[in-house]
Amino acid sequence: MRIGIMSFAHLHAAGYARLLHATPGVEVLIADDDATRGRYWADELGVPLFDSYTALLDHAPDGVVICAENVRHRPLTEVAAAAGAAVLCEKPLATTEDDARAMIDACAAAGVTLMTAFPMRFSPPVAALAAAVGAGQVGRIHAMTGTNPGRMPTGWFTDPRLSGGGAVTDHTVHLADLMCWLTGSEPATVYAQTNDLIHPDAGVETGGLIAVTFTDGTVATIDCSWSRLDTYPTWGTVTLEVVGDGGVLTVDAFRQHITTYTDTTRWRPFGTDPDAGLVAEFLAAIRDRRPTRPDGVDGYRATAVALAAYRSAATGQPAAVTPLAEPRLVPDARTGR
Amino acid sequence: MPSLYILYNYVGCHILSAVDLRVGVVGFGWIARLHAAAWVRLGVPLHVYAEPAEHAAAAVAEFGAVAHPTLADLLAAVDVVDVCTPTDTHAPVAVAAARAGRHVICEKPIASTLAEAAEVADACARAGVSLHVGQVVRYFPPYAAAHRVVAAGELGEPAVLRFRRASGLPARPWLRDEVRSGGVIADLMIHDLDQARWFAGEVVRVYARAARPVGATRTQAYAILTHAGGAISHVSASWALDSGFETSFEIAGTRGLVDHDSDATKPLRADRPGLLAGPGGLPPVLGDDPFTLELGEFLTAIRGGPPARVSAADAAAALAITVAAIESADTGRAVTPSPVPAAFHPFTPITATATATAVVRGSWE
Repeated sequence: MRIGIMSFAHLHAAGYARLLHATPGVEVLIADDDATRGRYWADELGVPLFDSYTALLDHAPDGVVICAENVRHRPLTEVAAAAGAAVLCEKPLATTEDDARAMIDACAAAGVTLMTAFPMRFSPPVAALAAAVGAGQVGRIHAMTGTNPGRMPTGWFTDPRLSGGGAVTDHTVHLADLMCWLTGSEPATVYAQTNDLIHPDAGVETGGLIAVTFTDGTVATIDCSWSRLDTYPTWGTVTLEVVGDGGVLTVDAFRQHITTYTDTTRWRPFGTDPDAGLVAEFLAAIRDRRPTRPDGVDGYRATAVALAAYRSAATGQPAAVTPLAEPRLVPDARTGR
Repeated sequence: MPSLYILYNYVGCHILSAVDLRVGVVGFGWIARLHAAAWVRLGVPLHVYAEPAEHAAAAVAEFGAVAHPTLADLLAAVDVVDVCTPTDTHAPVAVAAARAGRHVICEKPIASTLAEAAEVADACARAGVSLHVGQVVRYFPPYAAAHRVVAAGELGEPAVLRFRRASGLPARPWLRDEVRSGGVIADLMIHDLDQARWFAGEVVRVYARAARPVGATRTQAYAILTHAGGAISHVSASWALDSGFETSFEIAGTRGLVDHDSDATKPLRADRPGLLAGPGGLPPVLGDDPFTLELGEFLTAIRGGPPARVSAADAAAALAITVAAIESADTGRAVTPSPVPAAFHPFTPITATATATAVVRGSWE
């Protein structure tokens, strides 16, 4: 199987590339509009580098992983789909509802799989929580509390022309996706407040608190802030509390760690690499020529929550989430929803 | 390589399951169930011989094993024998397997005494079959991750080490019988005695104390180890918990420290007991299953691949420290562990413990 990596702009590309390269029977190809960066990773992994995305696609990859800057997800997805390649796109899927919809349409028209990179669904602790929820152990879900605080990323992440926005764009979507996945419900309205007190020079929002009301009445909140400084012992966390009428379950997805104390204190995770399951599922979907979840619709929905958060923050009042017109066609194999 | 292992699970089961080897589990109690689940995950055809008959029936019903009426029948049907019987029967079963020309995997401790252990090694060497011992904690992700950090020299030289392992009193009568199981030191503490040696090198002196906080048997034990390089280790083992299973460790080196506490790093919490209990009351496996990693590595080594990260000689060294700790607890004197019997020399890996892997790297760190 031949998988192309289109851009290493997003740091998650490194993890995906290493996992793909370590998978027997997978041939990794690289193209990057930043030639220096592309050369670095081609040498690091010992894989071929192409001088353009077109040249890479001419080698007929079975699939591509798109880790370009957020605003470039759409054009790269469109050319990849047209070339017949399945697409694994880094989150957020897009920076506008129109772009996300266009990506779904392009992949549907080409008959290729579109997967949004929501690795938290494949985190073993999150999967255990989802299994307990699926088995009815918390009863019906009434409320959820989610946090995804992290360090502020550098480079294009704080240039809204390339990223689409700051912390709200970067860190809302993982939890928005998990919440939609676990409830099987649609986000209806969003309220958000943001600030830039922690990194006032960033040029984008660095703090954000978001409330989401779902169509089934479930209420939920998300903390998407870049509120972890370099002194924090890890990059950040993903936590989710699920409050049901049958019980309360809390997952702290990166809680499994050892701690090292040298010049700095560091939490170093074990047993919880979510990327491995994500990449494996992408490869399996290509091999079996089938759709997969989380797909483009899941990517759209989470993106739409983040975009509604910006509209709410601008007005100080709740904002409606823009729904996707087409109904979902592919039920999730793991939840049946 | 935990990430790789997950990949195999999803997309490449055929890679690991292109299995030419048939495995026979002897005995089907608690540990055998964990092994059987791992063998099933590895795609290995499973055979079983167990007493009483209900145990064998459970292996057939729950894991699809083929049951055999006698040990001899089992030995005739398999290539690898996985000894999961009570400790005092490990050696005779393992020797019988070796004499039948079968590769041997033996649950820890390999035997009750070093002399018995040497008989097993001798029988395997004479038969030209491999011998592996289930010192499974080397495959538990936090220990493997810490070992990687220490082996990379990040903490300098290990100086003072602490290991703790605690659970409730085992229900099975043979485990409570020190003559049969060796008690809390041989059954539970041996894990961390092996860890101490893995992290800080050979042990030259052992002092141990034991107490009876629960029931008539020794259920709490401490050992202080002195390593050849000067490091010292504190090891605590307990069957005195009311419920649950807890482990922790701390390795202080000349340039830094690493620690881990299973209770403080639980990724899932529930507001009422039992909400998260998996099959058999065990917590759900979150990430790589250590038993699958262990038995998969043993199988790879048996097929001629790289040696496993723990050799039978390592297991014999752990037993030597264990026997010394029991003697010290009995006598109140510090004891120098016996050398590993010469019969184990063929079972030392060619390269030293070099395959420890488990720190999740990449974009999430």
